[in-house]
Amino acid sequence: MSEPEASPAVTAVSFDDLSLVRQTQAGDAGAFSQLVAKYQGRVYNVCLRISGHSEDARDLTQEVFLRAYSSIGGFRHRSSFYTWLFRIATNVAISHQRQVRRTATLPFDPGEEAQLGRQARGLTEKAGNPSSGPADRISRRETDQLVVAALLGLDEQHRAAVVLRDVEGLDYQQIAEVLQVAVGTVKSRLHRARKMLRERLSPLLEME
Amino acid sequence: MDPQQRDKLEQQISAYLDGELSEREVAELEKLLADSQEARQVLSELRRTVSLVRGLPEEQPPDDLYEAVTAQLERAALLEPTDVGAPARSALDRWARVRRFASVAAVLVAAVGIGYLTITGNHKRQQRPAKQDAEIQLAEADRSEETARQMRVAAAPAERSEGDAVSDRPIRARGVTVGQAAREQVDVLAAAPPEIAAPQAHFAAKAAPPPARQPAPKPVAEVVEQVAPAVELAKQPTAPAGTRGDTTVDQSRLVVAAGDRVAGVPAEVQQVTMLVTAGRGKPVWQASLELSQALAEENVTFLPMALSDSGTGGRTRLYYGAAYEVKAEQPGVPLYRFRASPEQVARLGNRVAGVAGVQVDVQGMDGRTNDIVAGAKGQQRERLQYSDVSARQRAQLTFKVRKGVSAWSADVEEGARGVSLEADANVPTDKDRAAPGRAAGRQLRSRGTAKANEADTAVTRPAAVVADEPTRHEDFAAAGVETSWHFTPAGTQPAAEVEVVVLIRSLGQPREP
Repeated sequence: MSEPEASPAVTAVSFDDLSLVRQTQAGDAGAFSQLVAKYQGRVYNVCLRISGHSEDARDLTQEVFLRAYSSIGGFRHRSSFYTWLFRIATNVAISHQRQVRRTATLPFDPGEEAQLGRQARGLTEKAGNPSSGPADRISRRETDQLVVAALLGLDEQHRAAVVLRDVEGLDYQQIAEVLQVAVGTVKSRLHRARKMLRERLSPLLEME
Repeated sequence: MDPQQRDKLEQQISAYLDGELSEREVAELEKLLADSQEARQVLSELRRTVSLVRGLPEEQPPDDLYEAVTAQLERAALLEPTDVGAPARSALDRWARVRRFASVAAVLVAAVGIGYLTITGNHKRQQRPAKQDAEIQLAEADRSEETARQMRVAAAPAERSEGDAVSDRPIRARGVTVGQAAREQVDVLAAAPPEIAAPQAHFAAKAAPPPARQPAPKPVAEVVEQVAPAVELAKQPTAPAGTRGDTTVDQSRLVVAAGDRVAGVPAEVQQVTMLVTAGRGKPVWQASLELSQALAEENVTFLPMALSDSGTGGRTRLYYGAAYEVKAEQPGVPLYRFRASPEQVARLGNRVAGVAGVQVDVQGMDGRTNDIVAGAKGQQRERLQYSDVSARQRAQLTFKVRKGVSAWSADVEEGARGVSLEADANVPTDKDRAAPGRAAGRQLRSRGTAKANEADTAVTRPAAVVADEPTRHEDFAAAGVETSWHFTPAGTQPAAEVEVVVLIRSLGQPREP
């Protein structure tokens, strides 16, 4: 979509990313606010799934858009805007996680893994109990908590690959652009990440 | 299958699940899957693993995230303009300028509005029943002192101390004062067409703060009277309302629709924040309107506004020179349309410097259009009346921003917040009707499905608009348009009344680090 022409004629204007980015680069802060509105949810979810904390995700999302706005003058449209934005988001979130890891314990230590296993087994037994009614069976929420915990057990690079693929639905090429790695690396990281996830979620998988 | 082979198989299956294998690879893998129980087992486990991750719910971002982000951007623009690269600095500076000029423009709106309000108020007062007239006079008398104080504040010398700024809240933004802007405007408008330049320059000269050691500003009434020509001019359209394509902001009654592009608009964007409040005295509900405007060189494209409300407050952002429109409709049945547009836009250099007056058109449920002239107001109340709004009992209204005109509409389809709106239908009770002019904007509910009070009868008006739009109006509470909706019975009495009050006090105060 090309930038709106400077014509007085009334034409329908498509507010695609490209035109909004160009308007922002031309100084229209309002255009950037539209980009914020459009992508805040997705950026927030990327940050949430990588950081694992809603408060962190909120702060990281702000940081992402601040960095994007500060850098948008140098955005040359060599990739799509959202790919560029997700690159910032991923970098910000991964960088944050590394910082957290330096100053705190790993979010997924062996003890927690054991706890996860116990939780999963408990849920399995619960689900397998014939006396359990539907309401007593494993709730989706509990399952999600286990999946999130397993996801947080991955290192940042593998986690980011999984989040971009399975949460955000990016294809390998897009993930490669976001993470700035080769497509083969994306494939490899996803494979390893899923293998680790499968092992950690095996109690749940056996239950199904 | 040895570990290395299995690892390779798993990697291929992982890519297979993602649809990232070539046709040849898919054929090979599917053949293997048909022959190997172990491969099928791997596929099954991986598929379930992926399914669990993909099944994670999409979390909704915090309601205030958008506000937090934009606030961060503004803060960065104000506090760290030199810490970023040239392009970024330019962008951040522009963001700051939007805020800065908004403060200047807001004062102009207030000052012009005072005069406009007074004139239209006097005009309307002659048409009002005696009882209403008395009510208005009482209300205006109550506010007259405050009005005068606000005018003095608005016209205060730019050299006031920060302490004064805190106590009296003169509008002053990072070195740009209202008075300076007004004085500049005199020069700029001198080159404008006579029908625009003369009255505006006249106003600007009067609204400008006196130089140091000059006599105090003239009394409010005198200033207001001298503003009159500009206001009267604003009521005379220089182009047909609704003109498309060649409409510019220099023309009165600029009426544009969302998605329209207008040529010749100054490159700078101004922003006004309005607070829309219902009820007299203690607000009983507040709605807000938000309008976005995208600039591309000399063209402006108007986006549909987002409408939001909460039980405690809302806000409106109106970019100068823009019109906005709201429609209420049941599926396929238009019920109500509200359109507002500026009547006069003053230029300051190549920037929009102020807006005088807002033309408000209300199309009632009966399809008839009722014109309401709403001026930008400053510390006075103007009671606006419109009638012929058909009664509709227990109406359930849905407000929708027009689809297909902007990115926001895409958000509608995605179920994003802030676009698809529901409105409460509100019906005045007998008690309300017995006291025309009394606040009847009770909010029947705040969110969710709108329902009118079944005990109520007669005129039904949308009383509140709700949405998931984040509202944090405290920043804008002192600077906006306060609109009060009053409901009186249809018949000889007006079907409804609207009060519009602009309270501009602190918009544009520089943020403290």
